[in-house]
Amino acid sequence: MAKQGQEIKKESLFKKIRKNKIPYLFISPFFILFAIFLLYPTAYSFYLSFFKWNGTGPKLYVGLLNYINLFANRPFKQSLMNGVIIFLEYVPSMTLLALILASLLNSKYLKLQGVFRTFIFLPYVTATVAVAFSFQLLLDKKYGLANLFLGFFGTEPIGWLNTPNLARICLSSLVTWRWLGYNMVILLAGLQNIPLELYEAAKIDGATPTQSFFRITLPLMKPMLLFCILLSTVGTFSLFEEPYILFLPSRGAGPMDATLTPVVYLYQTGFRYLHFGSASSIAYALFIILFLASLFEIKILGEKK
Amino acid sequence: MRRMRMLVLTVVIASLLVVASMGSAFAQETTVTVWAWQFPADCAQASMERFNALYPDINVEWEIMGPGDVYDNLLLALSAGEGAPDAVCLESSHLAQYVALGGLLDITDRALPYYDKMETAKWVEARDEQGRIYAMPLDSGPVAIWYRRDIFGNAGFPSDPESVAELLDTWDDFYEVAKLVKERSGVYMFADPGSSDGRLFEMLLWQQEAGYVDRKGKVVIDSPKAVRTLEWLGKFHKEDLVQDTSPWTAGWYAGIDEGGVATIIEAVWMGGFLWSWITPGSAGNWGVVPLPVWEKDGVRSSNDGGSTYAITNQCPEEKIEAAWKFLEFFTADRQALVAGWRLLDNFPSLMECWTDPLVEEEVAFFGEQKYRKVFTEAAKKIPWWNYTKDYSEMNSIAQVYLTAYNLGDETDAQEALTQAAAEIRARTGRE
Repeated sequence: MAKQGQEIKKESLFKKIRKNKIPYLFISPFFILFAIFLLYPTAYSFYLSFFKWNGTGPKLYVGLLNYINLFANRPFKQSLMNGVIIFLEYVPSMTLLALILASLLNSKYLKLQGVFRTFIFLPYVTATVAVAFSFQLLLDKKYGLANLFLGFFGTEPIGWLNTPNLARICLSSLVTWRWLGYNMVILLAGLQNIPLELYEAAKIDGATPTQSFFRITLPLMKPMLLFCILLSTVGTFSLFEEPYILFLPSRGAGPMDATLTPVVYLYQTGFRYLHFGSASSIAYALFIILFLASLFEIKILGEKK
Repeated sequence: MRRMRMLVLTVVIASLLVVASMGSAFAQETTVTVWAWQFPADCAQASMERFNALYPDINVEWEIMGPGDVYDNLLLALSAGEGAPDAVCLESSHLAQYVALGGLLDITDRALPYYDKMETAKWVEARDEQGRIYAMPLDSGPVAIWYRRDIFGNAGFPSDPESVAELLDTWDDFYEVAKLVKERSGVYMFADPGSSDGRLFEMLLWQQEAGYVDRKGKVVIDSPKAVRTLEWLGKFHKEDLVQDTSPWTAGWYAGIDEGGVATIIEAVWMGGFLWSWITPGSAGNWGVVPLPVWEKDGVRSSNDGGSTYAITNQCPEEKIEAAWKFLEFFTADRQALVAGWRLLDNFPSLMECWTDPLVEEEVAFFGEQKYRKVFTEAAKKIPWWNYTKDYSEMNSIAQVYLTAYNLGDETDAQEALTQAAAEIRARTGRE
């Protein structure tokens, strides 16, 4: 009986599609592209994660071995650790800074808002090769501007890019510099959706600007902030371009693998070492970790119902 | 009537097609696609005209991209089963990986006549376990010391090549001179990142025939020779005797250009980079001397880099001959190779080039020194080395432990290399 019911249901769905075939035809390009370029690779890499494969030869089924090996894999564990450290180094400060800048740019007292907005957003659209070269110029131990400046105060030259902790801080700064504008734009959009009447009412009730920031802006911006933090979490563990260009000689790994992010390691494992099975298992392990982290963040920061 | 018209039309189209295909059969032009990066392509360009005159029916289509893109795209094309070029330029350090993948065409029978004509170290990665050959050696990277005459002079040392070679007789002498140069003129002896990329360490090991693996493929990166080399390099980092910057970054260029380093320990191709764009302004101030030795009667030679040309297994049957003609011309035609050598210091692996009059030429950039002679002598003695298919992974593992030692996180060189060897064994499955 149940089976029959399902068949009827299926048929009716099919009928529905047939009845509305023109609209479905119009939206089909997205789904076709989605299936080819996202769904298929995603499913295929899941399949691959149970095999040993060098990219062209025969695939050797190894069961869960790729996943088990990850537990003992030094660079993978190091990359997760790096993700956590880099996240703590830049996400809270960058998000706060983005919110402050967005509030400033949203205030009607500031002139030349468009100019400032453009300048803050500019790093996001700057060519990465130019960025890498500038940061290397800035941070070089002997010829860098940073050490030249510190030298005026008698500081010994610092090997910014050549020691693990400083390398991570440099990377965090580069990421902040590059992504601040992007986050600011998202938050600015959120700010502009807050009705002005709320502030007027607060003002009439005698609230100071600080009070209205903490009592009105912050609570109403919570969903937007959550969105930014979620994106930054995924973004931190998936950092690729920034470490790769800043630490080119080590292909993004940095001193003692200090800037090796999970995605840089995934790339190296796949495309440099040709272990596509392990690379796929890294992708899925990372997916699970990020999924749990996001759930945790939603639970902590999300709206209580 | 309509049917008649259709018939006429069909006949006309069909005959047109036949004529068209006959036309191309008469012209017989074969297009060979080649993937390479700028350096080999520039060197080949110097002889392209001669190639076209010699083989008017072969049309070479270059596709220039960064070396990293060549490897990534080639891998994708081989994996997909289509899209690969007919011929491709591959660095020796990456060659073994693609031989192991089975993506290159077996050219043993065609390459064998050249086996004794090429520098021997170049064949190691070009062959599989059965000894079949998959690539033709293009250039070798014999290593020597590039030094600044003015800096040596300012530090109170003689600056002519003969005296400097005598001064830098052993690596211990090199270390002592480094201390004096820094003390007297405040200039670092050379540049090497404390956050090691492993390249200099590898060059120094290659000189001692002590690489990542031995001839049986066993991991030997924890050998006494490797330990002594790491201890030697570590001294420079711990005593601030080296400019701490990564190669190919802004600070590295600045050090070379502004006289911030007295020497560069690097392969022959560095020359072309030096005079063409890194430091054209310091012309006349440079000199070249052979490598110091580790012990008496040691080898004054090593190697870094070098490339090969290969035909991919996607090259269609009828184009293989043309692709081979391309390979043969650009890896074994004396005149073409000498042209690349003169143009950008692309040092030929083809040994008959080494007696060319070019070697005896005095070059103004190097203070009228016959600097090519130094590299030719070094090339004759390049020790055995095998990058193996695991080179990328072994190099990235070594980087971690070399850096730990340079930065003082690991105080014992033997311990650092024992750990590196253990991780290499665990991850590559080697003994």
